Amino acid sequence: MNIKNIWDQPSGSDTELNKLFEQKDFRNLQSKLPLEKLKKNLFMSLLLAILITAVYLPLFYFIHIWQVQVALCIGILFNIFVGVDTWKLYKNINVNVSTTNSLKDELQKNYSSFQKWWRIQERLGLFVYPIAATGGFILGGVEGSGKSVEAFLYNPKMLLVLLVTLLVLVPLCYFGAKWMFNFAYGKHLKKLKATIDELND
Amino acid sequence: MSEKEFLSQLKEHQNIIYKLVHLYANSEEDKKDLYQEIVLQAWKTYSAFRGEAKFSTWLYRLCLNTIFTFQRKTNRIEYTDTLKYEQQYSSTSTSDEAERLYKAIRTLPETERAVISLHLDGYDNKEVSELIGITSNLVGVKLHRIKQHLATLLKDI
Repeated sequence: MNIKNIWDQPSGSDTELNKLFEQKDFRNLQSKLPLEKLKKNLFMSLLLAILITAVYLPLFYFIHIWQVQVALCIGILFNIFVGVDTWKLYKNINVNVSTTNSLKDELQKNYSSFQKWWRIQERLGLFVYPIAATGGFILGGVEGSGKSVEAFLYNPKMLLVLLVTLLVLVPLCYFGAKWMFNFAYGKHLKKLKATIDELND
Repeated sequence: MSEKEFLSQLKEHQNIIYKLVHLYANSEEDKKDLYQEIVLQAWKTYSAFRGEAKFSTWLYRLCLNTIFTFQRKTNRIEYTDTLKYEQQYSSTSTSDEAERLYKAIRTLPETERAVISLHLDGYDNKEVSELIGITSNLVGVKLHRIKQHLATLLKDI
C-alpha cells in the first residue's frame, strides 16, 4: 500500500488524550514552555535588583566611608543598567507560541531570548557581584577592626587578601552564573541550536 | 471566532495534534504534556486567528512551533525492529501498517519528521518551506532523502 494512503487512514482515537480534551479546563492549564520559565525568572531578577538597590540607597547615606560609597554607587549604577536591560527583555518576550513565524524563526526567537538572558547574567557575574563583595569586604574589615579604611588597607596583608578575594570571586561568580544558567537551560539551548543547524543542513 | 467555534474546529482537526504528538513524544508522560501544551497554546492564541490561512495550516504551525520549543523529556526511546509500537502507545488504536509507518518516521531526525508529515498531509514544497523556514529547494532535497530512507525501512508495505 502507498505510504500516503496509510498516513491518511484515520489514526483512531487516543483514549488518554481524548480524556484530556474532554476536561476542557484550558484556562487552568499552566504552560511548561521554557520561555515562560525564563520570563518568570526575569521578573524575579527585576524584583531582586529593585530590592538590592533599595537596600543600597540608605546604606549610601549611613556609611561614611568613601571607598564603600564608591562601591555602592557602582553597584547601584550597574543594578539600574542591568535592571533596564532585564525589563526590556521581559517586555519583548512573547511567551505565546507564534502562529505566524516559521519554525526556524520561532526557534531563533527562543534561542536569542536565552542568549540575551545569559549576557545579563554574565554582566552580573563579572561586575555587580565582585563590586558588592569588595564593598562588603572593606565595610566588614573596617567595622571589625575599628580602624579607618586607610589604616585597614594600609596593612599589605589586607590588600593581598582583598586582591585574592577578587581573584577568586570574579571567576567564581562568573562560572557560578554560567553553571546555573547551563543547569537551568543548557540542554534546551543545545537542542534549539542543534535543531536550527539541522534545518540548515 | 467564538469559543464554541474554536472548540469545534479543534476537535475536527485533532488528528493533526495526535499525529504530531505521536511522532515527537518520548514517553506517555511527554505525550500528555505536549498535547496539553498545544491545546493551551491554541486556546491562548485562537483569538488572533483571522482566517487568512486554513485552520488546519494554522494549527499545524502552532503544533510544530510548540513541539520544537517545548523542553521534552530526554528519555529517548530507540525504535528497533524488536520494539513494538504498541508497547509505547497502548492507549492508541491504529492499524499495524500505520504503526509501522510511525515507527519508521520516528527514526528520522526531528526536523525531517516535520517535513514528511507536512508532505504526507498534502502540503507542497513551497508551503512546507514557508512553515518550516527553509528554501523550497532544500525541502525537495530533504524529501528525496527521507523517501529513500523510508522506502528502505518499509520495503514490504
